[in-house]
Amino acid sequence: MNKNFINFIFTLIYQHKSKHIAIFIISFSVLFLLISTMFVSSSLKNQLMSFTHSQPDFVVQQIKAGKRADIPTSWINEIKQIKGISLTQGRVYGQYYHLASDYSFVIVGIDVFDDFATNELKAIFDDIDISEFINGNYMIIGSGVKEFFDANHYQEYYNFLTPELEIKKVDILKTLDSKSSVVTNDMIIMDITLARQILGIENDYVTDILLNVPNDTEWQNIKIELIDLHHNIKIITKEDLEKSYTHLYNYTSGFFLILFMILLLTFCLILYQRYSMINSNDKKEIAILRSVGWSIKDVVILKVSESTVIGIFAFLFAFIASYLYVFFANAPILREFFLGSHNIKHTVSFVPFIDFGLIVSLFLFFISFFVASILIPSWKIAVSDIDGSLR
Amino acid sequence: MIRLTNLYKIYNQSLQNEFVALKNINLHIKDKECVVLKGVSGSGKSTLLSIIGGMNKPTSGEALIENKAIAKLPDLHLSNFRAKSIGFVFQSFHLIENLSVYDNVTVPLIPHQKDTEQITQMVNNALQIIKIDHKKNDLAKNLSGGEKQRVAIARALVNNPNIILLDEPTANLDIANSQNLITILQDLKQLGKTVVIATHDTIFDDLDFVDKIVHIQNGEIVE
Amino acid sequence: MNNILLQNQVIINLSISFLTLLLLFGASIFGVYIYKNWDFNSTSNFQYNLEKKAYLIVLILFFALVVKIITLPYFAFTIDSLSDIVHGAMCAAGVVNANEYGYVLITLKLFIIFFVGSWLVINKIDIASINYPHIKTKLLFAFFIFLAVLCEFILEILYFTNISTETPVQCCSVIYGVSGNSDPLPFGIDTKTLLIVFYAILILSLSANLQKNPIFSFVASMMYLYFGYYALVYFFGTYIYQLPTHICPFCMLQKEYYFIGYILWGSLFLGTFFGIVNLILKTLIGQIIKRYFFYSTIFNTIFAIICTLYVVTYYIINGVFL
Repeated sequence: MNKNFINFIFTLIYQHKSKHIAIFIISFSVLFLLISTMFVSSSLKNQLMSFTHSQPDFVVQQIKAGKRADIPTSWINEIKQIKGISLTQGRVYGQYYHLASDYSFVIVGIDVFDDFATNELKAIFDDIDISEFINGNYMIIGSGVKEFFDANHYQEYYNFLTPELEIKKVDILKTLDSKSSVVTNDMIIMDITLARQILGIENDYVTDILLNVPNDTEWQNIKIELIDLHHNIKIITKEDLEKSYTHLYNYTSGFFLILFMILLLTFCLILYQRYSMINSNDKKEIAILRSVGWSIKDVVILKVSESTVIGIFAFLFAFIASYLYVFFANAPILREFFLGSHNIKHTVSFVPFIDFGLIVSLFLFFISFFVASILIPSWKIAVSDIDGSLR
Repeated sequence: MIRLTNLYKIYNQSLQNEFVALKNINLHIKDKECVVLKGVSGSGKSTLLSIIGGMNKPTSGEALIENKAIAKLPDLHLSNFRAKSIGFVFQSFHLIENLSVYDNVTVPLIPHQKDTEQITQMVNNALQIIKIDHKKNDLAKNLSGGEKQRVAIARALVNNPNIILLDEPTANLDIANSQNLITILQDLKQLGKTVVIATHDTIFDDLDFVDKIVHIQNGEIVE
Repeated sequence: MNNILLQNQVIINLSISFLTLLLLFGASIFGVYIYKNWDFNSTSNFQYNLEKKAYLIVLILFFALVVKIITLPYFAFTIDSLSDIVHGAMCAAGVVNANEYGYVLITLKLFIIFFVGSWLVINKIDIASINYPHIKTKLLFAFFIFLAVLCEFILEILYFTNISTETPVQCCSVIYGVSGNSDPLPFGIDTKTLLIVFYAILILSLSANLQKNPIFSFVASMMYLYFGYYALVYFFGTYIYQLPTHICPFCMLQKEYYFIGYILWGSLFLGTFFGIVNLILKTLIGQIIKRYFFYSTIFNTIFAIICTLYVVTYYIINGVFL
């Protein structure tokens, strides 16, 4: 392989472009579908991961009779005594069910006088006047909730119904943008006291306790100490959360990949057939090369490289097209498969995120099957009889 | 130097449709000789030429060309032999139609020659000898028959081989172009090439630079 | 269904392995056919066609080599990515160790590359001669490679199906005995002895290569591979990570360490390959290629120099050893 050889490959491809265009288009379409799917799923996964990443290290819940029960705030001080915990915070958290539309959203009560459990939460309150937030009935809502309110003609506020059947009018202070709205989409953040009233939780009680333990080698010890303190608790670690999400998404993408594998195999068959149909012109051309001194090896290299170049170009083009389709056009049609139309309509915009490992994987996967299916046809044309082809 | 001894070529051997294309050929062609193989079409002269050119293998017998026994040579060696020792000009020229004249003449050099500058020089040289360099950027398919043949000869010459083989060189040419060809052949002979022409055309009958005319009939050399 | 098997990278690994296995199977069938009917002296069309068919085997083996070389680091990448879902695994080391097949599989993968590489060297000699003198050896060797790849595929399936996502595995420092009390180094030697042995074997392999003796070179290279592995993982690696407790063969492949692992493992494997190939050639076809001894020397030296430089640089910057 030298510069002249490579030049010659490209000259030949250019001269035979009409012959290659069909293979290029089919490869492109298969890859476009595959890469777009992967972009969507890895972008979603990345958003989920960044969400879980922003979660506290531990969430402690009380379990009574197999159900979650509210925790008295006295526990918080007890837990604070354990060494190695940097943050202990009670949280009020629950679902609010809207009967008429069979839709529920998540209410999170925050004690703004306490430290924020995570930086992400802190960032939400960066441009908010805390005293205003405390003094009135205000809430910060996710974009999905916003859409739901808009549909029900609540532009400025919403009337919540407490379990005591009182009506609580709560004003909308801020709508979270849809950047990472997969998780915060259905979420409403409000002051902890207000949240308690709406969710019907007694004062001095919280639904769960958040803990941060900076030294991750201490996690196991802290877990044991917590269980020593109270036996009837459940501890959810950030790790568990991450693993469960990873499971979920790998499962779906693995499933997609198997579907595409079937598609790819079909494609390889087409490719094999296409390259096996050697017309007399191709045969003649190869015979000419052989007659002027090209060896079988040279011709095989030429043929395999020719197809490999087509494959690589198809991959590159499909990669660029998928990027535009998913991250600029927001993947119309394809998103429906992932997000479904259940619950509130998702207002997701995909955050550009490329998992290079995955792209390399796909490329390897595609190109090895692509080249494998043209090996035999390439060899066949290279060893065809010179004299016979030129008569 | 070309030396063929007891050469046979049998197609579909020991089958119903067995066909003996060449029968006990014994032929010796010295360096720098110009030899015409004469015979009607189907007499086996093209098969003989392609065996000499290393594109076909004899069924038995020996073919010693440039001191190489080419009959059983593995592909890598045979290809190298075709590239370095033989220039073959086909009856229907067999250029790659969609490539330019220049690219067509480059083709034999690509697997064997690494240096781009040297390639350019060798190609230009061959084009100049055959006086077709003014067409070097034209596509092969846009050339006339006579021009195509000149490109084919330039391609055969580009590696500077010792032996030039021409199969029915005048079959696709008019009289004027045939006369031009004769001049080119004369030049080749002057360049010191061994030239072997397979033809049925009488135009080669009385040429003073032709050293020998070999008549072939039904696969056999006849005196 | 096992979750591991639904991982993208695992599917890709297995399907590419299956693809090469399938092609090699075809090549073996072809090979047996050619082996039985080969008669170089025959001038029949049949024999000429056999010669042409032999080129398909070359093509498939060449494809297999390229694929196997690329998928070796990809395999490391795959198991590294599995560490996200295997409990307790922080990098590939934990995942490889998830069952007993991991290290056997990786070793087999490496040796298959050595085999296919040697095959192509024999092929090169064979097709450059005028009468295909080594064709039968080549065909038998190809069949052997097919069997090796078959074993690899079975091991790969066993390996991936036996990784549990429930039971926690041990990773890096735990496996390699830093925090435990097990003795990880071979023959019970300590780090200092390991280093002495490593440099001694380097000198041994350099002199074996100078003598151009295939057997010496083979033995020295295998030892260099073995001790080079331990020296890199247990000693030089800690300087790459700048952490005496970080003992791992895989993490150095990551971008945090500027992908130095690819160069280090690459040079070690290439040095070993060129050191052992001549004995394979000698045994199978009775000839050697002398310049491979030289290549072996070059790559072994590169490996040692880069490793040593890490330690020296650390000492110059920090004034102490780890």
